[in-house]
Amino acid sequence: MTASERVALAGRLVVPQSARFELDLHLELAAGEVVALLGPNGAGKTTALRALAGLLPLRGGVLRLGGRVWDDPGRGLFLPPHRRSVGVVFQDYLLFPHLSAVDNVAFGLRCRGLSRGAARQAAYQWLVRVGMAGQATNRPSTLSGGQAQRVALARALAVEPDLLLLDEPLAALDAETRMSVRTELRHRLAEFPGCALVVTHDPVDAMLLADRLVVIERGRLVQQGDPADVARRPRTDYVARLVGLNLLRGRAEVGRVRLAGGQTVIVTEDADLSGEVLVAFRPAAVSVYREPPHGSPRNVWPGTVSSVERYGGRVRLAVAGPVPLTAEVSTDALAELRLATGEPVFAAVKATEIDVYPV
Amino acid sequence: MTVDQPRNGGVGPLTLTVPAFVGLVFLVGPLIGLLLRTPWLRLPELLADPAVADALRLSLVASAIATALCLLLGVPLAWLLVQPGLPGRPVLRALITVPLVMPPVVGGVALLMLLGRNGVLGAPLAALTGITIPFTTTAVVLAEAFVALPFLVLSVEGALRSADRRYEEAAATLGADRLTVFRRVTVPLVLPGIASGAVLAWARALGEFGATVTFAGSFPGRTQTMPVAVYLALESNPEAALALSVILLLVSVLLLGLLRDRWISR
Repeated sequence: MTASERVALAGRLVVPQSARFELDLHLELAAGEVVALLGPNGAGKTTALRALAGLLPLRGGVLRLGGRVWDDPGRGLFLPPHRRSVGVVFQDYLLFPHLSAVDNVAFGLRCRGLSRGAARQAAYQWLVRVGMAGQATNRPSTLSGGQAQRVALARALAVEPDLLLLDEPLAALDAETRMSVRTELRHRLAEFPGCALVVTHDPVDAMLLADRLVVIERGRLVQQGDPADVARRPRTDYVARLVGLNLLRGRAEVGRVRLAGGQTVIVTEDADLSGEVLVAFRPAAVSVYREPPHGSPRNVWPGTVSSVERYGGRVRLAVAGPVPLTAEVSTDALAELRLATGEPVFAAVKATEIDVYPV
Repeated sequence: MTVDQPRNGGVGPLTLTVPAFVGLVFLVGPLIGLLLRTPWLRLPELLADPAVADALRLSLVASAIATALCLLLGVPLAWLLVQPGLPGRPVLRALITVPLVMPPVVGGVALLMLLGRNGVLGAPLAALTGITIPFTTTAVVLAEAFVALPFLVLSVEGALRSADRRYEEAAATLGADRLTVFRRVTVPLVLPGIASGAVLAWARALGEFGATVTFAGSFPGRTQTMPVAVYLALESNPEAALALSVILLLVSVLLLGLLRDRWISR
């Protein structure tokens, strides 16, 4: 089967998530597309993955893959997990501890009727592809985290599924391993002809692995789009924090935005907007002063420093006040201004540094 | 204020160490007595006695078959007990535990009432096929399996309960139906639990006396197992009883060795 013949996923997943809310998510994946499902803990990411895999039945909605119905509670249809063309890489891999690496990879092929010999042979080829041929006869307990991740990926890919699901595939790895495994995973996903969904709470993983981001909060879709768009124009406070931007909400007026608290944000005139808008700017675009600054037209808001944190070679200040924001300054500036928690400051942002877009 | 404190190297107050020591002597003393009185030099001669050899052979064969029967029925039963959404689980577990705490003689009587010549199932079975179970080697196996099964079920159930069920989910996503999951993932994962359950069940079956003697009687060569033979030999041939006892003791110690890793060296 070529990529274009591969089937796509379309569904609306309605599953109880907790006592307080349920997951209700429209999801569509094209063949060959890699989508990252992003959200805070408890948002319903893993619930969605389990529903797609068939480990959790839908309570409402419908799930189709290509022409085939996988789950349709309205019509009483449910395809159990072992009959779905799905491959799952679990968060802690769940490699069978009693089987060698090659037998782990061969497991799915054996279930699909291959003889022991043929399954082993094909499994070995998959291990070669992920660079784990040398560890073929090792038990999972002897593999490092990165090695186990590769074997788990080979095991999921070996059955050549229409849908590949990865649950926090890099979360269990240390920072160094994570980088190299992420690069490899990216290549594998790019080659993968079916639909791929990566569940993650790490924006870097999501941006580097996926063609499209789907962000959910409390079981609902809050934003989706290509990674660059999401990174530039976050729509919720969670996404803004994730991509490291300041986000304000207000109503557009000519050349400025009036915030809910009454303050105004001066923006460039070419922002021709009306109604409810979002205002985003980088923490590094914020200048911090002890005294009200004079000079070029700026947005200047008073506030107090509520926290000081190292951020790489620089320092991030949380400024509380009528316009709460995060500012990023150099350590020199911090020392020069003698900034500490509780100190009153003035935060200034140039209009040209501010991005305004409709809600 | 003065308090009785053990000096450095002491093990504690006498009110605890004395009963502890008595308890130890109470457990070990009889075994020493048995070993001291065993006619070691005549052991080969005594064991060569056809009656002793018969009892030994019957005991080993019957307990092995009983253990196999326990595995065949007990592992699926334990699996059933841990299935999510199983209705009446506490009742089911209580029913399985009853034979564990019940006197084995009562078990033997109960087996007679079900499978005896006039039993609930035994009577129609005899009428239809002419087969009667009581007082046969089959009865020995059934009696032993009856008392041993709960040990295996509870041991395997415990292992299943503490096993990570997500491996089963992983297997399902790889295309394994429920039977394949059970065979290729669940059972291998709880194999240590199954093994220790089987050893426990075997030990219980080997030592079984009450239910066996009630349901199967004591026909030499057919239903007279080692424990029954020991009991009867004490009257007629005490030396043979000692020899048989020593053999049973050795087997028990051997079992202990098998289980050492799991329970003793905690």
